[in-house]
Amino acid sequence: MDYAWLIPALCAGAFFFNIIVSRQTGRLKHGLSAAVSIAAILAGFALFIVVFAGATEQLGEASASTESAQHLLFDRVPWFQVGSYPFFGTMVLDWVSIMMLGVVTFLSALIQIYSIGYMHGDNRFWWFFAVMSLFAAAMCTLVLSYNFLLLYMAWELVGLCSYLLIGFWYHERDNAEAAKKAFVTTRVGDVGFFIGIAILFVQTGTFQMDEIFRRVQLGSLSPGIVTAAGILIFLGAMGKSGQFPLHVWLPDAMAGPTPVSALLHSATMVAAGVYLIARAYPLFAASPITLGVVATIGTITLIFAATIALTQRDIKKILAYSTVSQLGYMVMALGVGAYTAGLFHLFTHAFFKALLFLGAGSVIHSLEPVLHGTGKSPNDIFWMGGLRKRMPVTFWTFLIAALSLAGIFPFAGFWSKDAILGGALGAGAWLPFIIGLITAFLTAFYMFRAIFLAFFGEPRWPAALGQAAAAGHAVPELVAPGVLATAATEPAAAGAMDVQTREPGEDVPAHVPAGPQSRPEQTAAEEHHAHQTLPHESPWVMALPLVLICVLAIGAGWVGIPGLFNPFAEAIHFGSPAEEAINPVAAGLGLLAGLLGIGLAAIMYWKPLLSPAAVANSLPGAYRWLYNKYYFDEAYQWLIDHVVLAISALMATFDRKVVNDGMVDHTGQAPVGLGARLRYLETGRVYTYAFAFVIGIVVAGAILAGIFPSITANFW
Amino acid sequence: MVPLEHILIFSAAMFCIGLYGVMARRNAVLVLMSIELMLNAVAINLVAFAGRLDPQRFAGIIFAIFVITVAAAELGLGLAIVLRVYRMRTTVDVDEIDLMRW
Repeated sequence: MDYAWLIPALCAGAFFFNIIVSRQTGRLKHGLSAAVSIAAILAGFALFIVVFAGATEQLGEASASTESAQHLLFDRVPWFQVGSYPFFGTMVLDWVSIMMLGVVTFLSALIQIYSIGYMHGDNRFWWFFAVMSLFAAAMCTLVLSYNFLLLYMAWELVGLCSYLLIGFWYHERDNAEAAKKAFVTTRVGDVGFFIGIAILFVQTGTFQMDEIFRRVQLGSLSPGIVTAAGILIFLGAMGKSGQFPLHVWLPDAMAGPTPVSALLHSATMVAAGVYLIARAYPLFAASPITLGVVATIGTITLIFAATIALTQRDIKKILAYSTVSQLGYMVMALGVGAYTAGLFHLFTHAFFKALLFLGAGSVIHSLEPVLHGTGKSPNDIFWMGGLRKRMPVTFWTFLIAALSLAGIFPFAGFWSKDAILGGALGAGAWLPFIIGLITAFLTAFYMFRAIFLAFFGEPRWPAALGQAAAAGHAVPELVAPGVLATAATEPAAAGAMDVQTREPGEDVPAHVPAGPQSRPEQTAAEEHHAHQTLPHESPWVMALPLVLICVLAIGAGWVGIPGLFNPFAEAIHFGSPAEEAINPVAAGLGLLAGLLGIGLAAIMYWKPLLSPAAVANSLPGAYRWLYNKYYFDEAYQWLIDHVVLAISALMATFDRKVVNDGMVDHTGQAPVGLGARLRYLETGRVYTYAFAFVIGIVVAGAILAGIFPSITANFW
Repeated sequence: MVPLEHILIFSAAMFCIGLYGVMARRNAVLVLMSIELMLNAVAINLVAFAGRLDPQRFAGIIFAIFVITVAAAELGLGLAIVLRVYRMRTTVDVDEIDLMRW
């Protein structure tokens, strides 16, 4: 408890050290910055273990001694004062915050180590690590704060850091746009969050969560206020956690470096929204309407994002929509009252999603030099293929993470997903349960679609190189031109997968550069330039974190085995502990859905018994809607162009004409105009003044005589 | 003794002549002389009232002496200004001295 505050403080210290000292050290700055940041986060993780050990003892005592068993320790630290009104920077330690603290420090540490390899050679390497430190500091502060004001500050800091990191390669316009989109979209939710806090402050006179929750539970706030504040705070969580109408920023956030995506999608940023719901749960639980809204939004999000993920080509976009969908599961679980299950999924998801992103980063990192200069995206799963043998560590860890995400026994995702499904079933929420099952099937399908396309089958990047050469793109000089020339003319090798005929519906201009539609390809070409331009396993700084996180992607679920070994549910629960028994219906159906999804992916993309093209062609409209993400971006663009900008133009006109011209300029011009007329009174002639003087005296005398007749009377 | 009314009428007439001079004359020296006339009319009033209303004390008479003193100082200053203006603009016509105009 006493050391918990040191974790964010250390990371913040690393950030300030890096931006003040490290940047001055010339060539050393990159190494120094990385070393300081990683040292800080590793120390943070070590401190987490200390805190964890201490808290186990203290929280154990607390729960033994008090009947309510709140599992809560908190300190009020005076923060600042306005007049005589004190504000506290309250820090809390309960199992929720300890769990999050562990996830954040562990994943941040490993992702930063991984970044040494991934970001190697970037000329703003030092700045990357500085911001990563600030990110970890902000997230730890958010997790520890027990005061809405402090939480809001950390919340915005997290938003700022994600903005800086998504736009890390800001010299490319798309990346800068994506960063802006993330910032603005989350801001929409944050406004709601802020209003919610303000309402609570006005009603209770405090930002302290303990007091607010006590009053909510005592019922001293009107139900309307509680519902309004709950929904407004949920708006903030929707923005950060990419829930349904505000999800648009999350897939675009892929513009950042892949380690950033991994961090953003697992431990920080998106986790903040779910964490906020869990933290403010007394407020949500007090209003059935709020919980209903939460459950509805979560359910919509989970199926909606999963369907989009079915058709994406970019491996990171698939993972991004998968994150949105999994966040939908968590929010849905919290909405139907399965508090423990929601947080359990947050916990396990953090590991396997970080692992998936780091694995995808590893693939992209190795494919990037191969496809460099061809205009083909190294993120595109249709240019991968056959990577299983070339990148065994990446393949196996990615596979395990995908199995975990698909909810396959006995990986981590199985336990948490089935806890959610069981929770929904237990709460009698049939619709979320059924949608959750369907989504489990879809999840397994799209993950294994990506795996079969990326890691199995024949390599397809030679085809990409051939296309690029034929289309006149610059090809890396390592590739012999003669080889490619033959590659472009020879007939296709047997079994080579033609990208265009496999999924014709995916031939979208934005992703596939112009070129001949059907192209023969030459796998022999790869043998010639094998040594340097072929994908290879990533260096150990990248592979090691994969393996370490992999252990948790398998085992993180084993702390929540119902009825057998379930310390998670004992520690983290709202009200009374959750039911101990496993729900066989939910678990069985969930597992079946996952296996069916994998099976379908296998027959479509591994052993082609069912052509994806045929499926896409039979439902062209649906395919187009999914591929274009339900046209959400276009709808928002239209909304901005036609509604927001129209209102803005109206406001601008009002400002210019009324406020600026009318109020400011005219008040200035009025005295000038008056003066221009009045100045002619000043003739400069003596008699004018003398005349005015005489008139003045006569008038003054008349007034005096009228007002003070007694003076005149006595005088005589 | 001369009745008070006669003195008041006399001084009022003198004041009005002075006022007319200030308003109508264009020669700065004559304007100054007219101002003197007005001041002297006031002084006459003061002396007249002093004798009637407050014979024991001499407040009114002292006031009159003050007026004469101040008038002398003012006239000295005024004539000096007129002299400077004449040097600068070769005229003492007040209508043409309109530097303070808009």
